[in-house]
Amino acid sequence: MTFDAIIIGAGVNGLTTAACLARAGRKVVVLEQRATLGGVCSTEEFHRGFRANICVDDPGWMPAALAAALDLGSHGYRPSFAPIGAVFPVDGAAPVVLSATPSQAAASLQRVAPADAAKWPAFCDQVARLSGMFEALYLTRAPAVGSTQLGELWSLLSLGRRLRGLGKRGMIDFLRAAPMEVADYLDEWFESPALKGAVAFGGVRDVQHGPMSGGTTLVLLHHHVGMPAGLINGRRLSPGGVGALPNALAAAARAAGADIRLNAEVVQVVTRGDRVSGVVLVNGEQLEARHVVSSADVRRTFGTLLEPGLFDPEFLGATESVRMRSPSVRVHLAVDGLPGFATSTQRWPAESLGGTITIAPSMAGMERAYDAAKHGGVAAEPCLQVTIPTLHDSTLAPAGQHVVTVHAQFAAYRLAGGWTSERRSAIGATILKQLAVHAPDIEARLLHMDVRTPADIEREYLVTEGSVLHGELALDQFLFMRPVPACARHATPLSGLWLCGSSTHPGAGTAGASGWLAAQEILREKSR
Amino acid sequence: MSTHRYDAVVIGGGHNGLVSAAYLARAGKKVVVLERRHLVGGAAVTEEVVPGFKFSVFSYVVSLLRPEVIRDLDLPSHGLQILPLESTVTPMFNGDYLAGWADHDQTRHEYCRHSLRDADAYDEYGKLMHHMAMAVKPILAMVPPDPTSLAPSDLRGLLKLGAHFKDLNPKHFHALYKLMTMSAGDFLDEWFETDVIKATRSASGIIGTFMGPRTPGSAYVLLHHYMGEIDGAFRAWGFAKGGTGAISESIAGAARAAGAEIVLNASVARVLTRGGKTYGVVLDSGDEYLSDVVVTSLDPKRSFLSLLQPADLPAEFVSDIRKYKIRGSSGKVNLALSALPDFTCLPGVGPHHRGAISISPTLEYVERAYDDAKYGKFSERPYMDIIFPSMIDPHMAPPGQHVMSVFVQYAPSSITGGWDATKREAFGDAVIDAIAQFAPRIRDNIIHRQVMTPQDIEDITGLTEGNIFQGELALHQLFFLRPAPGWAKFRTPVRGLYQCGSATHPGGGIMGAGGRLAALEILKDVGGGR
Repeated sequence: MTFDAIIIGAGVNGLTTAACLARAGRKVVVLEQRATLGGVCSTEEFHRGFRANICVDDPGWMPAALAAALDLGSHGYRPSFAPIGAVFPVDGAAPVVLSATPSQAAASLQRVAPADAAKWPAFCDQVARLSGMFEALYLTRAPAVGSTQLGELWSLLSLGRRLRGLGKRGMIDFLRAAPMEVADYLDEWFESPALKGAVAFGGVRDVQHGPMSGGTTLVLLHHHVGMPAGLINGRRLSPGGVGALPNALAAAARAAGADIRLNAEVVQVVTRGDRVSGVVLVNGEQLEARHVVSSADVRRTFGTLLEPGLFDPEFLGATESVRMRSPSVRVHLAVDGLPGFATSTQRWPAESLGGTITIAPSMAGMERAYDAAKHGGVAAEPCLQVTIPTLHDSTLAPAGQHVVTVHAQFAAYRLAGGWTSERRSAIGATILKQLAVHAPDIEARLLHMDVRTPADIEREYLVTEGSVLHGELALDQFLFMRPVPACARHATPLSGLWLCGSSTHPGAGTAGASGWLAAQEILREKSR
Repeated sequence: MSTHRYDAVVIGGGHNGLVSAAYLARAGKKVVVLERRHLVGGAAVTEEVVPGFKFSVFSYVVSLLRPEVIRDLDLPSHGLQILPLESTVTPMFNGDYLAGWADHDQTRHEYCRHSLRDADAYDEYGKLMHHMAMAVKPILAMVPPDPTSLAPSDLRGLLKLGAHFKDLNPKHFHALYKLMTMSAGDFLDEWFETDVIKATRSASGIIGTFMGPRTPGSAYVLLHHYMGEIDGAFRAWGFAKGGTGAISESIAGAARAAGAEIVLNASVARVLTRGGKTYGVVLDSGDEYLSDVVVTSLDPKRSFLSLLQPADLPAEFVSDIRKYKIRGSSGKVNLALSALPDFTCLPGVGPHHRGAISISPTLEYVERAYDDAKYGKFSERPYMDIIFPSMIDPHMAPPGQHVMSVFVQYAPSSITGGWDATKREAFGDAVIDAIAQFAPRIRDNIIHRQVMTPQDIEDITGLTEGNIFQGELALHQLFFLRPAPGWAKFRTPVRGLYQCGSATHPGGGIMGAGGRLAALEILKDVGGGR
């Protein structure tokens, strides 16, 4: 049996590509190594009756036109935004709650940092305008800088016009901000270390960089793409957790005629002549296709699925150099009741627990946590983003019980001495202890604790170095450089082989944008 | 109190101020340079601190001085003579060393001793970096166009820039883009496997900055330092005969020969303005130097926040200058020695004493030195770049004795609690201890020790936070953003006031590019010149 296209991996991007190609009348099969859809964007049972967003808390920004084209709403994906972004403790007072409405957030900040409170709405406005510029960049194929073709120049010009639309000062802010350290960027706005720590988390989320590393402002703005202006470090919610998105995508793909096979691990992409001819599964089965589209990350694709002899060594060297290095540990707690968060003797208001509870008291502390990972270790005092998904969807746990998910940084993927089960338990205990400072009853309520290190995530989800972004988000791995210049537009040096995963533009945690652009490239080629 | 009238007044007799003055004087302008200290040079001075021992107190090597400046001002005829530094030796913890030589093949041979793969990579790396430096070179001599402007001159400049980059082959364009954005460590990881090679090369990426080898942005500084050229040869570092002060003296000589006056011990108190326009400066003494053109070579914080009143400037500009990151990160230790130190890895006196000694045994060593500084401490085990000027120019010390110049990172200007005499001595001790890791008997050779903290550098030279580049060479502070958006063309919001220091494009090091470009812009505005 011959397909038009085989898609490797049923993550969000793989399913998106499959759905788009199927809707264009192509005969498509998606091959997923796991028994579950979604790749790293999945909601799974981690303890009897308890389900959690295992690797990511937010499916990420999806181009509105894509959601509409695939009619995801009717397939069950109707995300809303959490009403609250970051929530963080302040010594001896009620926590600061950064509501999506900037004036409300400012009111909450007023008690602890009046000068910062006054600037908050303007800050939210700037972040929204700058991330809006990224959104425009993410809706089209990676720009071809240096090309003299008319079409390319036209698209560059229209980006230029959009940039000019920001106004002179806005343009300067945009060109200046992206390469900045998020620490410098926030220092220009605010004074409160607690506020800066909570906001800066968005600049280092899932990258092995501290707030004093250049380019971390880009990360902050990237993660904000598509968010309401005030929802700094907020997230999208949908019934069923982040896994609702791949389920809807799979339904859309199937409705368009795509075939999706679970427990079907591809071990090799095979070629005939100078182009791909199909894939071999782990059970030895062979499938043939004109196109093979890998949603696996760039290093996994070229490092394990293909014969090295097919490629120029310089190209392979470039793919091997793509930085992955996840610094994140994910901890899921099954608890027998809502934990009580408190500072001194003051209990946090119940509604604050629906935000992204951020334990990162200062940017210097965050930088120290990063230093540990940079030198091959684990932070003694990791920074945490805590979410309680059961507050938004009670079906994720038995009645009255809850799931608490802790996203912790920093721990080196390349841990000196390697990851072992002892090291995993140790980091779990460190994180729990850190959490217990703010939620004193957490240990008493604990039914089960599930810890996933970068090495665990790599092993289970087959993402290199555990990177859910499929490659560090940094200026040198961005736009036409992502993942490597030769693959920035999803085609690869091998005819018929395409990349559609988060390793490609715009990638890095956006939902389906890479898969959508990849499908457009594939269809464009076929229509030629 | 007296009043003097000139065509142009230059504030500060550092190398850029002197270069500006020389170009203006050569164009027939009546120029005066006002220098606060008793000697010209700013951070490029030679001083006899102990009888018989001459220290290049701050800046100590040269490679970035623009060839067009040397040529136009005919500096050799004013005494400039640059002697090459032949090597860089990095002592290692295991007793071995890594040597790099001015000669590519000799370096390659040495790399073979450490890794055959790296020796091969070095050929390709050398070629690439040469291309990169060639690609950036024309930009150094360019007035940065403002991409946010629609003025015809800016559009022309942008088109010219676009055409320049279009001529690069895609491979070189991507490599240049990487150099502009990556960390030196990550960039070098793509090329080399031997830690000591990466560590020593990455050091060029951190000198003068508040970044570590793993901080994105440091690869650009690597390139910035790679652009140096002496006699047309890229990446050659040299030492000026007579110390770094001799460079300043030669430029001053050229300026004087062209008719410029240089007034020493003349500390400018204020830039005089009327109706948004400058009409001169007034000194601490009350003396006035009146002129329609004032050129400041000082850093922007000093120029705009201390010599001018906020009311003289647009609020947005003042806020941009306040945001401008300066961040001193380096110190300097100058030693008078009774004899050359003996390095464990290369016992006795040898050719390595005629080159640089780099204390960068591992990448982690350098990164940890940076970690200390991030949290407001000087590095317990600092990165150092050491030379022995008396081995290159014997007149720098009495016969048989030596001077040793030690550039040290990191010493944060923002040290917790501020710098004081106790911390200065503790810092000096840390430096000697760190050298003693590789030259255990160094202490026996020391006759005198001069320790310069960033605070000392600021106090003596006036450089804010003691930063040798007058501000971080970070991507958001380069080119059309240096020192402030909209004001990268050497002009300022005050009509008639110009800036020419290292805080202007293309940035720090003894380049003289800012001084030259500023003078040429002034001549465009006021007329004159050849």
